[in-house]
Amino acid sequence: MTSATKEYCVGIGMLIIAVVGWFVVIPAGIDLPSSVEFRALSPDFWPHVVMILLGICGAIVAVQAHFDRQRVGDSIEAATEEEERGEVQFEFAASAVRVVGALAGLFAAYFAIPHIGIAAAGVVLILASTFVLGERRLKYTVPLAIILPVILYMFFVHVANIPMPLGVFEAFR
Amino acid sequence: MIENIVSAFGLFLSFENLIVVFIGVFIGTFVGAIPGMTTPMGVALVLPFTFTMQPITGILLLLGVYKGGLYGGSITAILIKAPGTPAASCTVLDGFPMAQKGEARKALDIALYASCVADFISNLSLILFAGFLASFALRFGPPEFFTLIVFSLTIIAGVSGDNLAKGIAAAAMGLVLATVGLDIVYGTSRFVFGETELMGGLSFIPVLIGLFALPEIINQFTIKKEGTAAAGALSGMHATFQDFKSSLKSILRGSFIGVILGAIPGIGGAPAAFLSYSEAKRTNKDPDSFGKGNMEGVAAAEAGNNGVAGATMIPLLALGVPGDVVTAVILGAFMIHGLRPGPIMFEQNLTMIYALFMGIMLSSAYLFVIGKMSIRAVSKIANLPNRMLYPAVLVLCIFGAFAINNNLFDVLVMFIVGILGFTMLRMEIPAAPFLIAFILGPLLEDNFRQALLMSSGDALIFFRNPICWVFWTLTALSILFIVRNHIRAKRGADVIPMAG
Repeated sequence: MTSATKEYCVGIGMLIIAVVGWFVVIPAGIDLPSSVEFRALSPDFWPHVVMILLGICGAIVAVQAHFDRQRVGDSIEAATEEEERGEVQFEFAASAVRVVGALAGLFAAYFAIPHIGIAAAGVVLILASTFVLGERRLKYTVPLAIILPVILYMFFVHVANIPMPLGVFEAFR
Repeated sequence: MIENIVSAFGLFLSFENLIVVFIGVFIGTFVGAIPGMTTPMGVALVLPFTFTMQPITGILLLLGVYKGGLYGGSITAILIKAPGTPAASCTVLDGFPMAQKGEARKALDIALYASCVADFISNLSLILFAGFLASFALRFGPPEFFTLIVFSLTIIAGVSGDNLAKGIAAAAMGLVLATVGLDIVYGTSRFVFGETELMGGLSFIPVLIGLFALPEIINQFTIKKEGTAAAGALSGMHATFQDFKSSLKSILRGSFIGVILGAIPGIGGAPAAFLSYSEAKRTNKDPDSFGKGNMEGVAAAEAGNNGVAGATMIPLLALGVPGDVVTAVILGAFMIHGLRPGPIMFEQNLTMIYALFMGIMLSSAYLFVIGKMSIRAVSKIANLPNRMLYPAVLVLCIFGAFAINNNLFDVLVMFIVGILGFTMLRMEIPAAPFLIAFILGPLLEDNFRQALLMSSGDALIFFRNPICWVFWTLTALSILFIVRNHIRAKRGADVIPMAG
């Protein structure tokens, strides 16, 4: 996808968000009082103003990108896209898999914290993410994975006096 | 006044405060030096650790990180041509060529001396001008604050990068997120969707960490293979007093450029550094030597960069509006500690203000000591691979987000905002306007509604006195200036491909 096409999609995306926000999210998400003294004091006034702003900006980005695409020329853009499509698609797919995996790992850690504790979740997270990122030297990653979460746990609990969940390890406290 | 200064000494002079300023500058220097870590990220990561500190201690720690970060970026800029901060990209121009010529030590020394002098001058300007501006701002009511914040929101344009429309759109999203919670006038819920955790609104720190730290970490997973830059050798002799004297004029000029630009919301360190550099080049007897390893180039760039630091605190302390992204974070830190910077703070908490001034002056002295001590260590730290560094930062983020309210929900907020921030990063939508609008949004809306309640709905209250008119005029001029520059930049970009 060329730069201008990407910008065009971003602009259209913003417009869609503004429209959905105006017609769906604001009516569903804001409870209005039975009577409002002035329109500008209404709880939904600012969100409506902001959606207008977002819509205008989205339109500007889309229009600018549209003219940029015209300027670059359709034939050049098509030729470039054709050349790049093969290698770029493969790279994109590989990156997307890694990112989705990373996000899944984050949410897995979020759900695991109440069960195994924040320190243990941190240990697993460091080991997993360093491995995925390509670090294979266990002599560095294992000590890092153990020492850092433990130090952070000790600091917050014993220095800052902020309790941290230990999960199943609560019994060993 | 003497009593306030004496009380401030009492408040400031504790072992804890003396140590945290040192630690803050130390952390900031290292964070600033690591390419891929930004000063706002460093301040965001340190912020959770300040919760249990006294407000003055916590704020001084964050200010130390800020100051250290401004200098730290220059170390890797000189040694490996990888500026740790955007402002340090100017230091690369002559710093790296000096390192290549075997004069790395001299370049680092001059960068440090220039940073310390400029930082000191910037602190003096803060001490001299903040009080004066705050006393003027005592005349402000909700309409004046509303117009001031509208003007402040034009700083968004200063941090929007190349695309102004995207920057404003990011700000709009920040304003929407700031409305989550209970309505302040009617008490009804906004965007809560039945989730009780959202009734108090979104916590500032998970949003901050999610926006500035997580996207870089997630983005790391898209990179196939990470290269590592080898650090340049710490070669050559140290800078002499004669070297410092010959660069002093550029250092002083750069410091004042930094002060003036730093006091204007939205400008930041990078434009100040480049303006200082260009002035030094223009007035030099041998301008062609710039870009090839001229020591004055390094001095001018660093002076402009660091001259901004104290000055950006002027609008923050005096008016309660941030001058850049980092001071926006620091404003959030003030609020977390139950303090509201601005003219009222000068009235009611002058002791705290003076204590802050003392800490800020001390940070300049520490900057010199730490700068001297840390160059060798920092040059090694910069070689830490991101595949080790970012997982460690990720775990730090999780602990920090949880610690705010002892609530796992804040960790979830951080992750979701992190995904949003990553999407913005890939779509080249700047994150800084989002954060600034998120912080200023509630102030904007509250002052707007208070003003309307005062005037029984009459919008003319926003034009009630010359102060309002001045801010409206400044806003209009600012927008005109920004749009004009944007159009010119666009025309320039269009001409270049056509010429090719």
